[in-house]
Amino acid sequence: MIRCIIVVNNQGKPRLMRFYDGTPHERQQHVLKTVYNIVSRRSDDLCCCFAEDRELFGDDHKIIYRHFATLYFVFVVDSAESELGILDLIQVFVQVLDSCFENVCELDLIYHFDKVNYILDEIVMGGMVVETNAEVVMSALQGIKKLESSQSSFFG
Amino acid sequence: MFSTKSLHNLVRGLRAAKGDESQYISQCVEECKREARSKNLQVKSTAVLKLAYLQMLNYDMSWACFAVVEVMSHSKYTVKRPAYLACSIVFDDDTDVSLLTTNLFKKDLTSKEQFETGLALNCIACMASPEIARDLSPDLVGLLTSSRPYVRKKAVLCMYKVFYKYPPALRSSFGRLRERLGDDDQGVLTSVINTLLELARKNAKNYLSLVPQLYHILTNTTNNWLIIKMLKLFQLLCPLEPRLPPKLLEPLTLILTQTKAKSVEYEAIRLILRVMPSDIQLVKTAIDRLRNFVDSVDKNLRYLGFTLLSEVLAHASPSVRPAIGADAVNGTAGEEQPLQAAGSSDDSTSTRRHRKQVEALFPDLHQKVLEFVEDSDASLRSVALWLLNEIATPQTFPDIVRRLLRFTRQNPASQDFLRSILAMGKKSNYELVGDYAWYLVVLADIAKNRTTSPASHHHFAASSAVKSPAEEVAHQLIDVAVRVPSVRKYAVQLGCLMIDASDLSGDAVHGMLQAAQDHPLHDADDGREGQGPTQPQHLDGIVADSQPPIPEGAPPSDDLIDLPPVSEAFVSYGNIAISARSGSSTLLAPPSAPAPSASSLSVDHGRDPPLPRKRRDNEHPRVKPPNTGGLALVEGKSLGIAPSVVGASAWMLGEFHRHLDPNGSTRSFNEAFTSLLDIASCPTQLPPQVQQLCLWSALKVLTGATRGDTQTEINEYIKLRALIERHLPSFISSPHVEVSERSAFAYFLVDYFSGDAEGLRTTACLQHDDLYPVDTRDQPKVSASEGLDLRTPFFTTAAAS
Repeated sequence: MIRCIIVVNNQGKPRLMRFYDGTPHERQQHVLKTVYNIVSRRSDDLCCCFAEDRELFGDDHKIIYRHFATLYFVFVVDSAESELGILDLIQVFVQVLDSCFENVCELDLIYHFDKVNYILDEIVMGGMVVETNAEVVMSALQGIKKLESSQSSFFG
Repeated sequence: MFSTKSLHNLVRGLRAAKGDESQYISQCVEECKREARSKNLQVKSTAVLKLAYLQMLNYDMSWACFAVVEVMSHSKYTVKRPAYLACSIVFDDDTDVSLLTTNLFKKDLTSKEQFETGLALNCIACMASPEIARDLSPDLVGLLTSSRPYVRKKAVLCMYKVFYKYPPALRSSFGRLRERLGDDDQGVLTSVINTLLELARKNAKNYLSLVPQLYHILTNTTNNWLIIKMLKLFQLLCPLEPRLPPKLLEPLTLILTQTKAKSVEYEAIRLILRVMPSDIQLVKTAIDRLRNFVDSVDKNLRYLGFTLLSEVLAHASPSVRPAIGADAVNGTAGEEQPLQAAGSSDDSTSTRRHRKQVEALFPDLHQKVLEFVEDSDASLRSVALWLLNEIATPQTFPDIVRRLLRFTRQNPASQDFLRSILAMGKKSNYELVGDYAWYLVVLADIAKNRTTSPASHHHFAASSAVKSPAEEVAHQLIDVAVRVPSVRKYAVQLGCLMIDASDLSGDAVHGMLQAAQDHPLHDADDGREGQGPTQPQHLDGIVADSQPPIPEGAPPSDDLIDLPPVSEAFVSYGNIAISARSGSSTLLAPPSAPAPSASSLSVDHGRDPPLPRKRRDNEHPRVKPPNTGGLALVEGKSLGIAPSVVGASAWMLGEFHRHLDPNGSTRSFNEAFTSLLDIASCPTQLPPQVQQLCLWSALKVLTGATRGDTQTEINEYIKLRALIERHLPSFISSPHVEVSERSAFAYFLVDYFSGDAEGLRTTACLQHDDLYPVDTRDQPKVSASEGLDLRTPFFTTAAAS
């Protein structure tokens, strides 16, 4: 299972936060800060994309992240997920974001909090990976777009 | 009508309100509150979306749950979508209005639009409560046969949430889920396997009957994600069914040799190493492939390869070992004989049986591990450190320590290394330590220069379960000194160096460390112990029985009566001595809980019970020593040593003061004594517990300094006494009761046995007995004195209240 997904920028500001393991709201900021502290201290060139924090997440977890420009995409997963698979999945997520926003950058995520969440929902559902194929995700998103525009034409 | 601010505007305003964000946000929340009361659902929808955004910035929106439900009921997709998002972010089992969503979900689940159904499914998968899971499970089961793959794959995943929240649904609906194993759509199939994997992690046995179908899928798919999940699933099933691993031989060989995806390859290697018997070619191939991972230039592959490798090499059950499969039991299914006995009946989830093969294929392993330990990637380093701890031997331990210490010298922040050294040293009753004198110097070296980074100390103090390196050093110093009599001489010397306020640089200890590394401390023997010369051998060829003897099974005495603390406030710092013993349950001579040095102040406990009893009360280890973080300071200068280590050093000096000077002169006593009083005299810097320990030790040193046989000795004693008489009054007025009480007592004692020979002989007698570790199991052997009633409470409950 994916326990949580956090997108955080180089300064530690959250751009997306989804918790699938029932982490209470009071604790979410603590998780954000801790995760940010871990990933931001790791050099892109010298370090792998995996980390752990047993104090925060217990024994069965991996923090898997990728650093793109100003953003860290962090997935915290348990041992039911493949480490390299999740790295690919982060790639898929970013690829889809890139197609939706055309050369995605941090500003897109800042101003389109809702849209980014909707895109993520087509890839991960309740902590389970629902689709790993970027094209399938894109076609679903296009279908939704069509539905939205048809409804707005009906109702004004 | 309000002019509503869109999320876009809110974000823009927030970015403009630099430095004033919280005020801006409170203003926005107020607006949202108004908008959430609006009758216009479109306005409400925007408010809910903004609140969901603010929720991410730590502004709780659970008060708006009812508005969320209202907006969810809207017929238009674009309006209700933000509410569904908010619902899946905010709602949990305790949200009281969540039951109101059930009918909304029912409606959307049956929508003609597959994306509306998908929206509802996604939301349910995030927030379903047991009630919702129960009420919706029939509707969800219905969707498993939907004509649209998009709906089917989401419904399948949603079923996991339903089973998780409402287990009875598993019995009634599992059959319908199982049918999906025949689904034509790879996406749906992946979801089914995903769901089954999560279910099998809870109880793998239930899913053994699916093996034929799973096998069929594994051998017929090319979807990498699906293959990975299948391999994970088989990892759980194989230990339960001995016939399964041989059956997997062929498909696994194919996957391992043909896949181009590293993720699939890694998963296949993991499965092979975890479940396959070790005598087959495939295991060799897998280890060979693993080697490619470990040697890879790609940091990710290298880390993953090394993680798996360390799992194979570990002696003990690794804590880093993923929990997956951990609860699996040995293969006992069915009455048939396993097709291949090896590997199926013994520890079947373990990878450790491949150790020999791995060692054969990695001849340079030790060097590799040491190389990784110093890597700049902290993740790799921590695995390497952990593995190092597992594979260290008495032969390699000194080398490991040297390298780790060297590394910490260059990277002062690497406290993990110190922890590793300390953990390795203590492991299995100090089995890695061949030369205790050398190890004491290592401890002193750690204490003197490396444990005092306040930041790191703070970090470790945050988790009370973990000792800081300084505390661990204090613990081990005392542990070793108490249990290895032949090195007490060194312990005392090191103690002197560490508390010597005039030696602020730490050079002396450093010099000692260098000396210890260059020349083994061969003069470590101490005739007074009557155990002959010990051989504090260094580095090589240490075997367990050449280690200095550890006293075992000391005679039980009435010391062992375990008394509760009088009051927590009175617990003395002496408890580091106790925890030094009671903390290590696997020691050769497991120590008992009572006071460490009751013997030193009482000649005969039978005749003189009040004194030792009082000390025992005080030293009972019920209360953790307070955080003694930071540095001990002497006159504003940093001593460079943690207070807990000062305490331990002081205690050693006091307890083992007879080793201070084997030649019988009192000069070194004088120095030790002065240091103790000096260091105790900076009351603002040292915690009272340490202060009091120093005072008490000073008293012990004083009483042991001389037997008063010659006039010179008596004169020396008088000098020492003058010193203590000058210092003590300031301690007596200490605000800390324990410090005050002890110094008052010491003052009285010193005064009482004034400088005549008879008095000195009497005081010297107080320290007559040796201290031995006592097995905790010896407690019952102590018979209570006749007439001593331990069962009747002092007060009845009624009287007490």
